Amino acid sequence: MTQMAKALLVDDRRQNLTALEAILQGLPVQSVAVESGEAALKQLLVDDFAVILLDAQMPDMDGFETASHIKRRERTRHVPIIFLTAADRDAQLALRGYQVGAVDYLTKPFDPWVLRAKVSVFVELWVKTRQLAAQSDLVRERDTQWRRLTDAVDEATTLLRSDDAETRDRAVRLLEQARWGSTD
Amino acid sequence: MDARGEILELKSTVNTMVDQLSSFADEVTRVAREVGTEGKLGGQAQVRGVAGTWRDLTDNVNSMASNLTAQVRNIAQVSTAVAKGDLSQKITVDARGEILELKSTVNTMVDQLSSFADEVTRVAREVGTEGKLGGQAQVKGVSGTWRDLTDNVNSMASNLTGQVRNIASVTTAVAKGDLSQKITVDAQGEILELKSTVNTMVDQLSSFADEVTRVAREVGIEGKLGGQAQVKGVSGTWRDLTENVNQLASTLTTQLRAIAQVSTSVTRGDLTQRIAVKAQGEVAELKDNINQMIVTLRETTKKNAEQGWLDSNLARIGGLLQGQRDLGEVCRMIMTEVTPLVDAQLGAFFLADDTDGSMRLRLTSSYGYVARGHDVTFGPGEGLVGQTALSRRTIRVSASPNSRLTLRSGLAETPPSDLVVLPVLFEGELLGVIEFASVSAFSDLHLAFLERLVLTIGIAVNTIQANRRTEELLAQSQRLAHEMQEQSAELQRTNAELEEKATLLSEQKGNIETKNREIELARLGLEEKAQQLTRASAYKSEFLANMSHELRTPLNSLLLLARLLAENSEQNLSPKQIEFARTIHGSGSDLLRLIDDILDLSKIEAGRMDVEPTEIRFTELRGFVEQAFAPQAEEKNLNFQVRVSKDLPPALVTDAQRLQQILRNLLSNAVKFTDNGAVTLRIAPAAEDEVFDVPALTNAQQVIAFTVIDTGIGISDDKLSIIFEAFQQADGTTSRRYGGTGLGLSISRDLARLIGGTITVSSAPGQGSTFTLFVPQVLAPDAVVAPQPPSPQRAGLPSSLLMPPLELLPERPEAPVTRQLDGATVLIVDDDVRNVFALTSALELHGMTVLYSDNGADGVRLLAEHPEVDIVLMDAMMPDQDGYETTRQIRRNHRFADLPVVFLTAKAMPGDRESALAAGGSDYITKPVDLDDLIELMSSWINGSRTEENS
Repeated sequence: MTQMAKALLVDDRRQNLTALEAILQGLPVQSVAVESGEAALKQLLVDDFAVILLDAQMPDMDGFETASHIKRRERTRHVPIIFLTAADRDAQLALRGYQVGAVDYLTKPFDPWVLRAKVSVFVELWVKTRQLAAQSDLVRERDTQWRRLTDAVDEATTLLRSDDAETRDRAVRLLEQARWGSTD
Repeated sequence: MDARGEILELKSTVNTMVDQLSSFADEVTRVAREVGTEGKLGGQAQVRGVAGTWRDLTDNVNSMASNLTAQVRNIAQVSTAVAKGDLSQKITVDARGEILELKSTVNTMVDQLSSFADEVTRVAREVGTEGKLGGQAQVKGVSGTWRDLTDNVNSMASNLTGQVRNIASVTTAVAKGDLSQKITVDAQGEILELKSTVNTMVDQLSSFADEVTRVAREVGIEGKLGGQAQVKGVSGTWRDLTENVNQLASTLTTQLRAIAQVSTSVTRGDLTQRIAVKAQGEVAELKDNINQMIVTLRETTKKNAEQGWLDSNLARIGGLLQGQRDLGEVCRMIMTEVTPLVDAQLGAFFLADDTDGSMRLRLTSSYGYVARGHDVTFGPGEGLVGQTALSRRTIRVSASPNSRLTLRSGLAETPPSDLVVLPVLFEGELLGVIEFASVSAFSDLHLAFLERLVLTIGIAVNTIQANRRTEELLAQSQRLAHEMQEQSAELQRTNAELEEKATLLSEQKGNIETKNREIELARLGLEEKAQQLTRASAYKSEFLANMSHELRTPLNSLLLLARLLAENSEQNLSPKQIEFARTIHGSGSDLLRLIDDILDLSKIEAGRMDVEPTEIRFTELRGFVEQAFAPQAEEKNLNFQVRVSKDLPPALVTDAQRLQQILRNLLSNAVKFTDNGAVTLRIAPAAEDEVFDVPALTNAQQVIAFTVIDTGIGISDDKLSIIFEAFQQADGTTSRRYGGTGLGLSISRDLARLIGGTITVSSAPGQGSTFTLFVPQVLAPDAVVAPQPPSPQRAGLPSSLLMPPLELLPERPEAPVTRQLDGATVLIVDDDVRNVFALTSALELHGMTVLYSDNGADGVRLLAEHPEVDIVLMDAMMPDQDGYETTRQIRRNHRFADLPVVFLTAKAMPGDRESALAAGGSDYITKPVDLDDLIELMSSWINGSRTEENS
């Protein structure tokens, strides 16, 4: 699992993206900054992200629409979205954010450390998930192997019960094959 | 000389000689002078006392003198003859030398003279005697005086010719009657006399002619009779002639005057004159004609007079008849006027009377007639009157001596000798009969007059009768009209009343309409104003909201970056730089606060600030305040206390956020403006006797007072009133010293009002200020807005999301339809990311791997990198390189010759499918895509290709 977690930063203002990148500097995360909802969706089509920092107010496709698209796609719907907005503290907007599936809704100005902390949590989570998935794969593999071995052992045991030497040889081959993989 | 002697002798000899010589010389000289110079021929020198030579000499001289004398005398004789006109003489004397020469010369001269004389004589005879004018003397070979003489003769002849011709022309002119000519030629002598005589004659003739002409003109043309020719100085025939003319003029004058006199008389109307003057010839004819004319004129005049009388009397009677209404009066008038006019002595007027059904003629009026006390009536045919009525003709009875009728006067009774009975008709209808009787016979004129008069009378009577009928009808109609008038007057009055009322009504209606219109206008104006206000307010709010966003957005990055810098996490900034960053951050924060404040203020003013009452415990409040301000106060070494009264209930119901905001404002002000001493917040029930002008407070069961007391700089009384105004601080220097926007108190006051409270202040400069916030213990329900649906907690992460989704290893649900697609890879080439994203989610759900490109070129590249792609979804319309071009590009690679490429077209245009297929597309589907159709389509293509691969 050498792949680094990626954070997708979406804001229609370049300087805001710079600020966000600055904030996230030092975290074990690779920032991918895009300037529109459309661009964000394109990135999501070709890449996986640990977290999305999404500006709520953008021209054309705004944060809410972008989020709804993201949430509708199976592959991206679990990517946590943190809304960032300069809009006033209107509960209605925040509600909309949560309704489209945001995990958080931060109003600018926000404490950079808070954001940093939140992002790091999700990155950690992503890494953990990745690890978990890897482990699950491993477990599944082991399980398969184990089942195969068990099957082989069972079969070998059955074969070993026979007096026939050839049959015993077959059992040994079976066991060896199960243990070391196919030799032929 | 004195001499002596011989000398004396000599001397005397000499002197004698000298004397003799002298005498000789004198004699010779005398002869020479006499003969030669003085012409005294025959002179002889008489020298006495001489002898010898001197004698010879003297004799010679004398001989010479006598020779000379003889010759000269001959010449003289011839000359004298010549001079006397005898040109037949010739010089016959013998002469020699010069004298001979003279002799022949004289003879030649004589010849020439003779020739000249002949010529002159001829001319004179021709011109003078024979009257051949224009003749000229032609003398040849003469010169000098002769030529001059000839010329003179010619000149004389031509002069004479001119004069004679002139006289001849004048006399010819006179003979022809042209008396204007005069002899103008220059003449002298008798000719002159003749000339003047002729001219005088011409003058006299001219004068005579003028005179005669004048008289003739005056008498004959201009009519000035009595003119007489006055020609003076004439006699003889001329006088006779003049007298004849005068005789003629006077005769003419007399005749004309007679005619004129008569004409004048005729002109003046006297037709009795006759021209009596004796005349003959044409004048007599004229006289007779004039006399005849006068007679004719007289007759015509008489006729005219009669006609005039007729006409004038008819006109007069007609005039009298005009305008008459009363028939009886008319009849009387006719009788009295007409009877004497026609020299009648009796007159009677009978009017036709139809009343009884049968017509009777009743005597209506009479003149000079004595009716015998009873009605005189005639039926048709009864008597002359009746007969006239019947026959409708005038009946005239002359000389009826046996008539019973008599003309009576007081003195005499006379039977009439003439009687006329006339019918009065109108359009053939008998209206009456008129009868006149006279002792003398009626003249034709009078009869004619009567004939014509009855026509007029007929018309008049008819008119009067018609008028009477008309009048009767008129009277009737007038009576009816009068009645109608009365009724209509009544109606009019009613109408007028109605109209008045209608006018009044319409006026009122107009007034009402005007009022309505004004009201409507005012309403419209108000509405417009209201709309404008609303719009302005909306603009303002919108502007503020936008501005706040616009201001906050750049400020955010500024603040974030400044904060990051100030933290100096990489430890590479100097303390100064850190300080700068902090300053940037601080100023930015101030600015942000200001923006927030302005926004708050505008939201409150726009009424957009919502109030959410919740229950707050005072202990909570205390905790919030202490947590927020204790550190600040401590920093300034101020004593900070929060005292909560024991009399308070445990909690109050209000909008906690607003209450906190107000308290934060008041307390931060207190801390800000206090340099030493204490800041105290006292929370207690308001005094019972406190009076409020806020309804929410007066109605509240209990009012809580939050009192913030500081020992700061205080506010002077005159500033107390303005500190709540926006952007106002007590002193212009305040903001410089303490910072702040001056909005805090405004916002606080407005917020207090929002939660049904109010803020009061008391202060003394240098002593400190006391701000008290009063709020109702329970915010009135009507001010409470419905609580918002519970929103996720703002701070921190929602717990549900903190738990990561643990279904990390989902076995993908495999719907039957997706089975064929599971594991397939699809490349989507489309620039519409929304569409792609939706499509992707769907396809991923079916187990597909989705590759994506937003343009054709990348799509082709991606395809080359990923050979596992099973199918391509191609958007037809893309910028730069459209789907058709991209597909053609793909098909160019043999590897992808059989790769299914499905076109996505925005709308089914006829020919789209053909274009897609022509470009190498395998199939096409229209947007918006029906997912089931798409899946089916893709399945068939992918499975088909797989089948192909497998086979």
